[in-house]
Amino acid sequence: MSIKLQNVNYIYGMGTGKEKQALSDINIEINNGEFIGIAGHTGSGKSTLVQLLNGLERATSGDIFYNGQNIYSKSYNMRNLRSKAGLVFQYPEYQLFETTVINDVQFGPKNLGLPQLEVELRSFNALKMCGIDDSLLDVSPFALSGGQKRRVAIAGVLAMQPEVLILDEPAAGLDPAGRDEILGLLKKLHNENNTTIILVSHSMEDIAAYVDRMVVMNKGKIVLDGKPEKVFQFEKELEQIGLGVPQAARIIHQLKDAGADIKGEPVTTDESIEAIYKWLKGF
Amino acid sequence: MKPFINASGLVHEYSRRDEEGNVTGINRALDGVDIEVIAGSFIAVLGANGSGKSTFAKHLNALLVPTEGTLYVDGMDTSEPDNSLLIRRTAGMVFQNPDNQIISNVVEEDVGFGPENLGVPPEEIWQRVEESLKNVGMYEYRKDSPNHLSGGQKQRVAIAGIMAMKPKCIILDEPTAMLDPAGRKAVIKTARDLNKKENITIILITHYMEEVTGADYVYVMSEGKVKMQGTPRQVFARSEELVKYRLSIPEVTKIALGLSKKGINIPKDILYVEELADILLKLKAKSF
Repeated sequence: MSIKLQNVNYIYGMGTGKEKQALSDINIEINNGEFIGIAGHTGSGKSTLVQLLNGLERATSGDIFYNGQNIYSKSYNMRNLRSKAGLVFQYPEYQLFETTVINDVQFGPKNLGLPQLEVELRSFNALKMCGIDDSLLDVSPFALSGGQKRRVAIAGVLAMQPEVLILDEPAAGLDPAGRDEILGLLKKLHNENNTTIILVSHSMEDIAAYVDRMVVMNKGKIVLDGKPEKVFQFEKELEQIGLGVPQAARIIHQLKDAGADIKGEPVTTDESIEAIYKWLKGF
Repeated sequence: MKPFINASGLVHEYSRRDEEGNVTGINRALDGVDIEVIAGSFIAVLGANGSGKSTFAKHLNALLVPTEGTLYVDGMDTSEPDNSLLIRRTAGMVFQNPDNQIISNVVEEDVGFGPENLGVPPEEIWQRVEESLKNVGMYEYRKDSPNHLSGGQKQRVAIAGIMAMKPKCIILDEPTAMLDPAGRKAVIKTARDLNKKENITIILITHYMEEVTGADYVYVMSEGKVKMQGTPRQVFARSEELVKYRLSIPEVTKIALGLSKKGINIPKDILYVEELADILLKLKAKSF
């Protein structure tokens, strides 16, 4: 599913005298099957942006196109959009509410009006994808560990079979192994189902390791957009806007600044190990 | 020297209950924890979700009391109900979510709330508020509404609120989990400064490996037990064990380890980017 934003503006508190421009003149095209990371400090506009993408908020001006169709045109079916663009909020486990894991996951697809068999099939698949064991299906979601709850909540969105999955800080508060599990799951979805994934994250390491394309926001504008290895070349600029670069990229930048002739622009641990090794050995 | 915090054989059990309130099971969150903290040190506690580290934090502040074993904070037994107020004044706690900890509409009033409740005279309250806000670098925001602050700024206001009560110790329970990189840096720097300049004992509970490199001593918890302890270098040199406990090592340590595995002669306990860059440049110079 391709998404295109054209001259999108969003102003909070219109008409209250305390207007605040959260997004200004956003133009971006997200291609079908892309895995894209959005970074930006608190208040940079990234959460507003994801809410526009899911149709939760309406842009003050500008247009949004899904597969070429303008979602603000009168004939567009907004309900349909919300089933195709799945949004996973921050700390999604706070939204679990049913008595059992399976009921919670079925809630979404049931509301789509699908036949019961289809609802069950989708729910089982989504839970399996998220690594939730069958023995937990009839357990109360509140009896699970933090990481399990998070995965059940994500399974609830996956069971809607969205074409685009938008996640706001899905790994926040999880331990390193939990982070890897969640992000590994996204990678799998992306690879196996060709789901378009939009990942909002404060972790530059995670962005470097997982996404194909990185968008950096500051003060409601897109300031950088490109492959992580290109974007992370702007270390000073990123620090100025409250972000940074992964340590794997910082070490390379420091060595290069000291005159080291290191090839390429590594940003992940493995890439950096390889590049440093080659440089040390004089390859 | 007598330790400021002394946990010995500390056990905490949570009971699981059914809808009628009958106990259906026991969950041992702390299982014989021995931890000693010297006054004025900066201690980090690492552990996966569910490892018991937050339960331990709640014991330090007498929000929970031992099921078995003992815990002394500044010489006070936490299982003694009469001590709990004094313990909370001695050891202040900062939680993960800044929005749950701020109560006033104005920053300086929020910071003054603690000392006011302690019965501190008004003049001294204002003096403490000013001092604490300056200490965390938030003095210029004293008249602002906390709603307009970023997560990192709110967290620093929460720390100032604790500081204003003049505690000897501050416990930070995953204070940066919800913050952006700049917010994370500012909160950790604030904790370090308070430790260095004000000699406040800091207990930092986290699962961001990069945040504990500056600690004096690190405890690693898993399944309610202390599984590893040592200086950050000693702990991070044991990466395979850390992975077993669902943890990790800083990226720069990973790079050093990876190079070492490829046969490069390099220490495995590197913690800082600058340090690694230095070593690598020297290595390269030598090879010519």
